[in-house]
Amino acid sequence: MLTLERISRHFGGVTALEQVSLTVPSGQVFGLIGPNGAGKTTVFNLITGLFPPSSGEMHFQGQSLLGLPPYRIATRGIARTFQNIRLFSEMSLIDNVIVGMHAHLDYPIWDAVLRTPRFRRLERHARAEAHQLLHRVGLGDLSQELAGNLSYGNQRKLEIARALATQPRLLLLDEPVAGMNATEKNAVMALIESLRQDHLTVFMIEHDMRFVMGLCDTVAVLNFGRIIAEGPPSAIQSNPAVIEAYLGQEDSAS
Amino acid sequence: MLAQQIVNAISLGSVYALFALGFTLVFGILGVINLSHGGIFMLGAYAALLLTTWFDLSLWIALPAAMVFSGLVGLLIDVLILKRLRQRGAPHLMPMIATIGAAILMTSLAQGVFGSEARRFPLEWFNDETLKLGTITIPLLQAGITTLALVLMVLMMWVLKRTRLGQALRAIAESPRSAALLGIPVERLFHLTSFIAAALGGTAGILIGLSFNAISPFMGQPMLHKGIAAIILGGLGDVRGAVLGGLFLGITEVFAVTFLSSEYRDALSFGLLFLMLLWRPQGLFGASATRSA
Amino acid sequence: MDWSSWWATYSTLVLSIGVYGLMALSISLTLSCGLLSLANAAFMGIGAYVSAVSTLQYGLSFPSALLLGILAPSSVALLIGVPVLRLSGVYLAMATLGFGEVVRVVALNLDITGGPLGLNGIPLLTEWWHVLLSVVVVLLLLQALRHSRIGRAFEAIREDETAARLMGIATHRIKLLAFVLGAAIAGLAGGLNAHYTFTLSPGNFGFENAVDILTMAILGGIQGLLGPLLGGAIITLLPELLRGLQEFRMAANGVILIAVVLFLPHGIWDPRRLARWLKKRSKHADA
Repeated sequence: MLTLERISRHFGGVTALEQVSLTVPSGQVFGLIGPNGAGKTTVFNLITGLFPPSSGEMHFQGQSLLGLPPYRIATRGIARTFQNIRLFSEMSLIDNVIVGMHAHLDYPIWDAVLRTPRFRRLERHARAEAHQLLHRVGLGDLSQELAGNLSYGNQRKLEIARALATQPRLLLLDEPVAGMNATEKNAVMALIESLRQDHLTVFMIEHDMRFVMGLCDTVAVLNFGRIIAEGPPSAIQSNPAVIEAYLGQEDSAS
Repeated sequence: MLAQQIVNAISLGSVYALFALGFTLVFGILGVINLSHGGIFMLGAYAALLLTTWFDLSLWIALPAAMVFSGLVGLLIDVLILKRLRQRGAPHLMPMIATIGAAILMTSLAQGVFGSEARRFPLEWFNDETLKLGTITIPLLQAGITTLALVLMVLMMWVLKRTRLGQALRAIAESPRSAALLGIPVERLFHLTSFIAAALGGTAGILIGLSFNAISPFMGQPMLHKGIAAIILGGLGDVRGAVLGGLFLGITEVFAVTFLSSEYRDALSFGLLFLMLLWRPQGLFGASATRSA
Repeated sequence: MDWSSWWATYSTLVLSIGVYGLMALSISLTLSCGLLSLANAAFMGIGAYVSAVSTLQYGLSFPSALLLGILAPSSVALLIGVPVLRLSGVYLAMATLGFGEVVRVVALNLDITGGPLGLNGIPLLTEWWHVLLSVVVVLLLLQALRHSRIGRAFEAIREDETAARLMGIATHRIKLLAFVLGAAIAGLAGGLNAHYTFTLSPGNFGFENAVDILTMAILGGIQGLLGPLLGGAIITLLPELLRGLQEFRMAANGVILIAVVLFLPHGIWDPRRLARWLKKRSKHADA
C-alpha cells in the first residue's frame, strides 16, 4: 500500500533519515519503533508532505507522493494524528470531526449560500456520521464540549476520530496511547483492532511495547535515522541489534 | 553634486538604520513587532525639544536625557502591555494590535499637547559651520548626526557580539525557554531590551528632528513605515540586516529624489517592501529567516 | 427636532455606521482565518474611486457603478492574493500595509483620480435603504458561510493551519476566498461611501483608516457577526460622542485598542462567553 524507497532527509547538516526503505502492506497494522530522536515522526512528516525528502521515492497505492501538497495527500487517503496533539481546541468535538470531512463534504459555495436541499442533506449526513465516529472512539456523550477542555487521553481519541473522518485508507498514528492510563490504552487497542477488521491499514509509532507487540503484524525499528530491523513482533523482540539499540539508549539515559 | 548627495544619503541612511536597529532588537528578542516604535521616535524628538527650549538645557545634556526618556517610554509599554500579553501567551497578532493602540495614543497626546504644527529647535544652533573634506562641504550638524548614529550602532553591535549581555540576549532570541533554563533572567532582559530599543528609536527621532529641523506629532508614522521596510529588507530580527536595510533605504530615497521625482519618494520604501516580500520574504540579507512570526 | 432636519444633520453619520459595519465585517473575514491583512482600507479606496469615476466621469448608473466598485478590488485581491497569502503573521501585515501605501500613492498621482485633490461633486445617490440592504445581504451571506464547510475551514485554519492542511483542506484556496470576499465587501462599502460623501481624496484610505477598521473588528469581536457591526458603530460614533475632547479624540481609539487586547481579547460581542455567563446565571437561579 505504502512504500518508501531509500528515503533520506537532512536538516542543514544533520541527517535525520538515511536510506530508509519500508513497505506497509495493505490491511496490516504496521509498527515503527525506536529510541527517542531516531527520526520516527520525521517519517510521518515526509509521508504527509509537510516537507519533501532530500532523496528517495515514496509511493502510495502505486502513485508517487513526491511533490504533492499535504491536503492532496490527505485526499488521496492518508490521515494522521500528532505526537503533540494538534486539535482545533476552541471548536466543539463534533466540529473537529466535521472539519476532517471537509474534502468529502464537497458542495459548491453557492449551495451553502442559498441553503439548498442538497446542502442541508449533506450537512445533516455529515453531522450524523461525525456522531457515529465520536461514539466509536468513546466520546459520544461529549460532542458539544470544546476540544480544549478534554483530558489528554480523550484528546488523543478525538484526534483519531478526526483522522477517520477524512475517510483514509491508511491511518498514521503518532504515539496514540502516550500519556494514557491502562483502561484508556485497552480502549484504543480495541479500537485499532476494530479498524483492522474494517480493512483499514494502520501505521503507528509507539513506545509502549506491550501495545505494539500485541497489535502489530509487522514492526520496523529505526535507530539514528536507519532501519535496523524489520519483521514480525516475535522476531523483533529477540533481535540482538534492537536490544542493543534500546540498551544503548538506557545506558546514555542513566 | 554627486559627492554631496552621497553624503546626504549616508547621513539619512544611518539614522534610518539606527531606528531600524531598535525595531529589530525588539522583534528578535521579544518576538514582537512593536508598532509603537514610531511613536517613541516622535516622543524622543519632542523630549529633546522641550528640554532645550522650555528648560533651556544645552544639547549635550538634553540629548542623553531625551534618550533615557524614550527608553523609559519603551520600558513602560513593555511592563504595562507586552508583559501581560507574554504571560497570557497571547497570539502574535495581539501585541501588534496593542502597540498600534499605543502609537495612536502617543500621536494623539502629542497633538493635543503640542498642536499639529511642526515645531523647530532654536535657530541659533543651525549656524553654518561646515566641515571641508576635499571638495565636499558637510554641515557640522550633519556630520555630528551621522557620527552619533554610526557610533551608537557600532556600539550596539559590539555589545551584542562580544559581551556576556549580548550572549544572553542572543540565547533569548534563539529560545526564551531554553535561555530561562540556563539561568538567564529572561524577563529582566526583555525589559532591558525594550529600554535600549526605545532609547535608540528616540535618538533617531532627535536626530531626524535636528537634521530637518521640524518636529510634528505625525512624524512617527512614516518613519515606522520606513523602519518596517528596512527590517524586512534586511531580514526580520537580523541586527546587521536591519542596519544594512536602513542604510540601503536612506540611500535609495536620496537618489530617487535626485534622479526621479519627490512625489514617489514615500511610495518607494513601501513599493520596494511590497515587491521584496513577494520575491524574498526572508529579506535581502537574511540567510533563511524561517522563525515563524 | 423634526425628522427631516434630524436626518439632514445626521444622515452621513447613520450611513457611515452601516458602511463601516461592512468594513469591519470585511476585515473580520480574513481575521477569522487568522490573517492580519491591512489591505481592506485600500480595497475600500479602490471600490470608492472606481465607482465614483464610473458615475461622475462615465455617467454609468449607480447599480453598475457599485458592481464595478465590487469587481475592481476583488480582481486586484485575486491577483495579489496568490503571492501575498504565502506570507503569514507580521510578513502578511507588512505586505498588505505596503500594498495600501502603493494604492494611496497611485491615487495621489493619477489624473483620473484627481491627484492629491481627489474627486469632487460625486452624485449623492446612496439612499439609506441601499446601505441597510447591503448590510443585511452581507450578513446573510456570511452567516451562511459560517455554518458551512467554508466557515469551519476558516476556523480550523485560524487555530492550526498545518493540522487543517493535513485534514485535506486546501488552505491556500480558502484563505484566498476570504481575502477576495473581504475585498468585495470593502469595495461595496467604498462605492456606497463615495456616493454620500460628495468628495473623495487619497488620504481617506490610508494607514489610519486601515487601523480604524481593524479597531472596529477587534473591539466588537470576531466570534460572531454582530461583533464587527457593533465595533463599527462604536468607532464611528465615538468622535461625535467625544467632541469635547477635541485633539485628544484619537487617543480614545488608542486606549480602546490597548484595553480590548489586554482585557477583552475576544471583543465585546463574544457569544461563547455570553453562553457561559447565561449558563452560570441559570445555575445560580436554580440553586
